[in-house]
Amino acid sequence: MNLQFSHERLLGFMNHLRQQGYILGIGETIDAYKAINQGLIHDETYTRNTIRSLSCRDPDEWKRFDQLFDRYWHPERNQQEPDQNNNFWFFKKKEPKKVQTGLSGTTEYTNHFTEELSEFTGAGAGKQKSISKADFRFLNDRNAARKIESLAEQLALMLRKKMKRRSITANRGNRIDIRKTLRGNMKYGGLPLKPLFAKKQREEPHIILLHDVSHSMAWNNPLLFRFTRGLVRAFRTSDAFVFHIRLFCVTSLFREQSIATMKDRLEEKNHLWMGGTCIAESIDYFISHYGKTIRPDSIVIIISDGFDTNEIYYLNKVISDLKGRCRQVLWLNPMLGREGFNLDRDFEQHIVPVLDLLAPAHSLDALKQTVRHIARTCH
Amino acid sequence: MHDVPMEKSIDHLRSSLEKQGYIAEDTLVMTLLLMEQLKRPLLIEGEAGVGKTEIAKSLAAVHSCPLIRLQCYEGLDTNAAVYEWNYSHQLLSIKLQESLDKMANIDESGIFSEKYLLERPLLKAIRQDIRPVLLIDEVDRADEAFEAYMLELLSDFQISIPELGTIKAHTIPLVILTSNGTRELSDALRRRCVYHYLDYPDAEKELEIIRRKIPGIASNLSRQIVNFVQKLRLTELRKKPGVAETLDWSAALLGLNLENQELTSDIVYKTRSCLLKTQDDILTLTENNIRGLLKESQ
Repeated sequence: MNLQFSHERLLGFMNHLRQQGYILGIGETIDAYKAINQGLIHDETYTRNTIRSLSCRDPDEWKRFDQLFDRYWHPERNQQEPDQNNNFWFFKKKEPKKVQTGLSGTTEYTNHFTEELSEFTGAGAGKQKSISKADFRFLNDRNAARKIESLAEQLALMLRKKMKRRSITANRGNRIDIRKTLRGNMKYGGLPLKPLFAKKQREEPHIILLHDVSHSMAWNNPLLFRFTRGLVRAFRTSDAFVFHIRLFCVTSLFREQSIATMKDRLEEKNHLWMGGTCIAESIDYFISHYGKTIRPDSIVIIISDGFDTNEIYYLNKVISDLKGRCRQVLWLNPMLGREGFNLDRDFEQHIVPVLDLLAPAHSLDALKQTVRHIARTCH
Repeated sequence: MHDVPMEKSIDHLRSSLEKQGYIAEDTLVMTLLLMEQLKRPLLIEGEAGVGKTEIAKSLAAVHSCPLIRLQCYEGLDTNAAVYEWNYSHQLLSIKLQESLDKMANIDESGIFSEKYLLERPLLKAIRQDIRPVLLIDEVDRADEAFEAYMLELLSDFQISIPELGTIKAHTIPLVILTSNGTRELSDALRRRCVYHYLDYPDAEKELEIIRRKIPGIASNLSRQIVNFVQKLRLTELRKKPGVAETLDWSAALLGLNLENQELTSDIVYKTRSCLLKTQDDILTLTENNIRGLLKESQ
């Protein structure tokens, strides 16, 4: 197929890609220019494939490319816009960042990351901090919400780096490895001047996530989903389950590399989304059906607002049972830390004592605390 | 860059790859040509078993050049990837010289010389006279520190050895990096590479792959196999079957002399271990599910 190609249009397209979140420098533009000039300048397939290979950096960008290419080079073709009212808007693809609308109004797009973040909240003083402290429930601007979701995922992935740093530091003072020492000191004529240490075989933390997806959690879940996804992707052995009145394993869904594919697969599973909540029953089901996945060093994280239709004694029993099988049980409550929210007395009396940690999960700062706790626990 | 028209280059590379048994799509052929033209490494991502490693093997065969492979793993260091001094030989040499009372002739440069240098894949790749294909397999399994170290090699194609100095590449190798996405790769590495995402093949392409790799298979059976595997990939499995699994399964069915039979749920159930690689998946795929998938795939 022929393409109305010109170098100005190519530059325009590269800019268009940048606006869509592709990280492209001048080098990529020059390479694309050179490569296209070498070949079939007016052949659409050739141009499309060339620019795709040079501009994409991950599977998500790869899969989005065709749509962006068609939208730019063939504006006449009526593109089906994604449904913005879809419940899964939080998985939607990056939008042009020309204008950002915050709580305090609209502002022009800026490239500076910190400024960009501060505009999302627009809540006054302490701009940089405000994004991390912002309650997700009140972030009703889509771009801001999406940015904070992606930060939550990055936060979870940071845990892995944190653990790695700790393990490198912790290697000092380990057992001396005779073989390594002899081999490493050959350069000193075999004299053991520099002792070398055996690396500890550290297993990565085994995290099990039990995520409440009932109706009452609908406001909080976009942020928490990305956080959960981040944890599952960061730790290969981790497992994730979602529950409402039933429990489902979603590890493979969350481990999906592309957010777009994950969205598609989640959408196929309508049965995952229901109204009610039976926390105790779901945990009981988890223990009886997936009990063998729990290890003595597992950290079980329950993410729920705690609104349960089951008896509190039943919940106490199943959490005690769970605690007996794993290392720690943490409960992240997105309602905690919000003004005007007080824990239920029964919950405080019967559940809190059996938990290792009850922490808020309504903002990035709250999630950071949890990440720190997990890193400390696993050290 | 290329003297031959691009259209011919594309066709030529595609047919050369086909001769080596690799069925490549236009997008992949284009990416491979770009890699060669721009002398940039190629980063290929995709699920396990879609043929990432096979590309490097086929490309080496097409160019009749050596394939040098570096398999990455957690804890991979420069000693295993770049070079190492042959300490035991150095020591033996010193002892030998001592016994012959020739200590005066020994100096440090003699000990740290080419003679005692053990080449590992990366060093070997840049010291080849014929441009090789360097396959850095599963780069996501290596540590971030090693990934950062590789940046020098991938941008300047040179390696610094303190005792010998900087070694520059004799020929720029065709570098192919593969990743299964077990961790995010750094932007710096991604930016240095031409990128390709390899998805599971569509039914027609997969059918063609089976026919080429397993020539004796009946067309009816291969069609049924492909249809079933395509449907199976849409189900919730921990580890979806890749092309390698499809080929294993096809070979197994052929080996069992089932080429003239219709694929039944019983046959699939008994041979499912060729397709499924985890206990969870084996438990998930019950005979009932197989029956449903077979019905859908007809």
